[in-house]
Amino acid sequence: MTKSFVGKSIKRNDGLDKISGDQKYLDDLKFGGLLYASILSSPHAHAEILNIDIKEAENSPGVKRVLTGDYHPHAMGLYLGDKPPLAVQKVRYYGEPVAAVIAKSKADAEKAVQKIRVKYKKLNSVSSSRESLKKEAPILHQNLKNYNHIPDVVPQPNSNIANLTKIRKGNYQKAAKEAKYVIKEKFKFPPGDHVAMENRSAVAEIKANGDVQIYSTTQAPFVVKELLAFNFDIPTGKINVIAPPIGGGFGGKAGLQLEGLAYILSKSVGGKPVKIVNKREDDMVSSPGHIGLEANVTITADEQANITGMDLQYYFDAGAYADYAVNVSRAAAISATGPYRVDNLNCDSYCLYTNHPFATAYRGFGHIELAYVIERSIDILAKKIDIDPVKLRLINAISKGDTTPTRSLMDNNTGDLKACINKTAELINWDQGSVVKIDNDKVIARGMGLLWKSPAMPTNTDAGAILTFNNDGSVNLHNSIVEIGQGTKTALRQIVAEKLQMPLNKVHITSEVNTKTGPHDWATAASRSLMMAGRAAINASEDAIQQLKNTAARVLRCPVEDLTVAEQKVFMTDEPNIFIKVRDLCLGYVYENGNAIGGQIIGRGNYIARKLSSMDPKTGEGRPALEWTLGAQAVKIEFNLRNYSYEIKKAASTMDVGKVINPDLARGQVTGAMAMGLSFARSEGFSFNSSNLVQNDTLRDYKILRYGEHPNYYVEFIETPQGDGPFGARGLGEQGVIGMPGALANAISNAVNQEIKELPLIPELIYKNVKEGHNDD
Amino acid sequence: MISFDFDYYRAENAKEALHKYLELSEQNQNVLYYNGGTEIVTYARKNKIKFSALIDIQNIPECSVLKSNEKQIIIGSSVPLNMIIEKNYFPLLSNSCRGIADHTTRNQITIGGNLAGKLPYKEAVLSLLVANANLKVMTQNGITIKKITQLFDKRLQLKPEDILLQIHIDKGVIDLPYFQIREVKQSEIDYPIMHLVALKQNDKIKTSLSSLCAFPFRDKDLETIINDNKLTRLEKIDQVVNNLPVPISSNYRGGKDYKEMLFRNSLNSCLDQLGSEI
Repeated sequence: MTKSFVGKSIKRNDGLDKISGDQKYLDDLKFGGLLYASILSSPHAHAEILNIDIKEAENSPGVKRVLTGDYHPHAMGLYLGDKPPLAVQKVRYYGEPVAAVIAKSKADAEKAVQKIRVKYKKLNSVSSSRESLKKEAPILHQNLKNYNHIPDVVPQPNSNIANLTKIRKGNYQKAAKEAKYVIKEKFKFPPGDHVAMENRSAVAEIKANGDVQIYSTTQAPFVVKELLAFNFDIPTGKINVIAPPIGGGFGGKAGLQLEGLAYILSKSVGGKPVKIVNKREDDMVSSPGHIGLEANVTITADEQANITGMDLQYYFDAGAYADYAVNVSRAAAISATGPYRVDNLNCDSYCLYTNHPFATAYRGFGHIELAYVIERSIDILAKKIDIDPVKLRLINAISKGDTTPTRSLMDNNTGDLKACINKTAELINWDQGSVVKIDNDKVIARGMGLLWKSPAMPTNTDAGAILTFNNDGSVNLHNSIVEIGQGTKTALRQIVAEKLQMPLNKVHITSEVNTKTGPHDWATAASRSLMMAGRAAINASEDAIQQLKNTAARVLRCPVEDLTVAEQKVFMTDEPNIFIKVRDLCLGYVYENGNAIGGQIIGRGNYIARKLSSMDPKTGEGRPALEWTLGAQAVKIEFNLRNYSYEIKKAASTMDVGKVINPDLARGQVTGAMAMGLSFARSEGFSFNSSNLVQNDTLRDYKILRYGEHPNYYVEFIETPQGDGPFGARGLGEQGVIGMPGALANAISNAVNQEIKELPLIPELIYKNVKEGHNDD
Repeated sequence: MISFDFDYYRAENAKEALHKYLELSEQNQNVLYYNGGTEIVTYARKNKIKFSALIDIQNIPECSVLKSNEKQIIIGSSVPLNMIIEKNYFPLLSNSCRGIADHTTRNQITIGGNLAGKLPYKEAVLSLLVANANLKVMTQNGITIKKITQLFDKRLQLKPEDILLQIHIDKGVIDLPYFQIREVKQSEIDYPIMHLVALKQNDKIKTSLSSLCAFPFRDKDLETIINDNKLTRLEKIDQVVNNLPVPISSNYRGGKDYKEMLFRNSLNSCLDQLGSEI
């Protein structure tokens, strides 16, 4: 009889440390002989650096070295290498690191950094993505044509276009001509921050033999290792990157973060270990945040409310450097339409340079952004057609047999989006009405938003797993998934326990990632960890089972195929009382006379994304998506018509995740994502003054959802198996954020009977919309 | 972290604190009195204030008094806001302090700090202005007691070395009808964009305002309009808006139009509740 571990709410193995405050993060770790760095950042959004006087800082007590951009004036990055570790000749955003002090103590470094004198000449700055395309806009990267980039990215030198991804599918012009209904809308929202609990930090050391050791709050230790090797001309094998569990990533710790800077800091002081820790303000603006967007959306529909075409222009505000953002704009093109059947599509997705803090991956990776504009547009279209917006979504929901924007087929693994829509409508009591008056001041309003997401990652993205055994027969799963709070490691333990039919407390897992000892893994991003590392773990388990059987077959003198592994034993399937314990096999079997055979069991597993292909640069045709998670979300709000404030009372989400490996963890992950999506829409985003300086670079002013401001959350799952997923599972880590901004904005638009087309949804913005709406009338 | 060095002194009585202040100032030191420390710490961390010496006044006995006798309520300047709210001797004061920062921070913020700090909101002053509270101040010429309405103009008009010791509130005001409303940009835990307080005494409404304009104030001319029963409600509100001592301010938290709308609504609710007209 097989025991089931998958599908159960197993408590997470790191839970106790975290709730008791015992979890050690990078800044808690002790290093001998450590030096500390402090960074001077730019007070301007765009300026020429005329002169940097470091003399006084160099003479400050405890100071070992003061560095400026000319120490390593080379641009680097992951997808588009456009950013030097310290600004060279120009600063391009408020908060850009300009100089660094290395000193014996943090206080010495902080004191000295105040003594650096920089002379700037202010330059005109680019304040929005639309503005960046204007003729008179300054070109922010004169050297764009010389930057390294991956082939899938198409920068346009002598412009501010860091990437342009085009999708041409069907015949949009024809659809537009024949359309019965057309809506044409513009949307925008600013860039902002992830606000992870733990600020970024890194410690770099170069040992006497040239070995480079980096500790970093990274989601992508192998990316860091490979980029350091490439950019600093170090043999990859000489670099070891260690990623301890981190206090929240949300995409902000993927790619290259402080590691390159930490490396040159250490190099400049003869390889001594140097630590750099972001202050909260630095983490918000100096390090990258989430992308901003302006968009034009045209949707056409026929008499029966079928969407016949979309014409989309996405203008992403990547800020001053577009390294990772170029792939965000590409991801948004791949999924441009949202989860709707759209046979005729034009989409131009631009990644644009502006003088804002720069953007990197953010939970949802282009999808939370596009979903906001699409879901708002769907509601506007529903009003135009005069149809219930939920019904419009049901009519047009993508399903098996349809094709994606890149013309790849939604195959047998396609989730049941209509079931998700119906379930969410039920959870939010959609039938009670999208807007209901309570009294003269208050209304209840509801809004829905759909989601879909696929990972937009390199076609050869991989994961690995190694299983080793202990002398009590228990196993260790060596994996390279970074613990970022998501709980994947617990789910991986469940998968191994299920495959080996072994109690969970016998399945151990490594918590930090070490690129020297762990198997290669692309990155802990794109909600692909469970799917890919899960497949690798299954693979490794099967390999270990085969090896256990091989040794056991010799001892039991029976064919390998007659054996079963379960309950920490290898036994004959038809005669289970003939067995050997795993603990007597796993480190080699020893006969009574002392002879030993077999040796230790080491299970090896790997997984590489299958059948992914690049996109055609003219039409976007291709297969860039590993799998699609579909879902429907909704909110219910109580809106105060007197002061335009509102309370979010209820938030609901139904997603088709293929198979729920751990229900409590899955619900936790989705609930957290929903909260983040609501916070993103309700109050987040940078506010800029006329000089493009960020006005809210502190948590006092950058408001995230607080404890008492949360609604009640309702989370349900539909399980249409993902054929190639572990036990049928597909990704669910990020997806819960995606539909929330659209759902909330739809509810508010319903409450005030005005179409809100911006974010964040602060009361004053809603008030202005209502006032202007009335003026138009 | 605070990266610069400074000297720290703790005074056991008001005289000692004042003398230390004068002595250090004569040595060209940049001196600040230290009370709850919430502003000093957060500004110093970002190098937005500089000082070479701090004099902690929290051990001065008068400063930590919180009591109510037959005639008045006495509140020492070092009393944290949460203690004032919990004791609740003067509900209007409690309510107008409850929105300041968050609960954890209100354990640390003192009423003296709120009145004398750098931040422009000074919400604790609103109820003290309408209650006509007295302030007990240590000066070079000894202890003085003056009406807050004489000492407060945009901010507390004290000499740098003066120490606000206590606030005295006449008990006659604590049960009077009042109105209080605090509007924020969005999150409740935020600086206000408009805070209106009103108290009705002898059939007259007294009002004070914070955050609508650049500084908090109580304005007699506005009160004359509010209490002029020949005017209709709308005329009163229009005239008040048109006669503000300074224009409504616009900033990152709220624009002029939106704040004016909130203020009009709030004033209307205030007049509904305290009913100044027939």
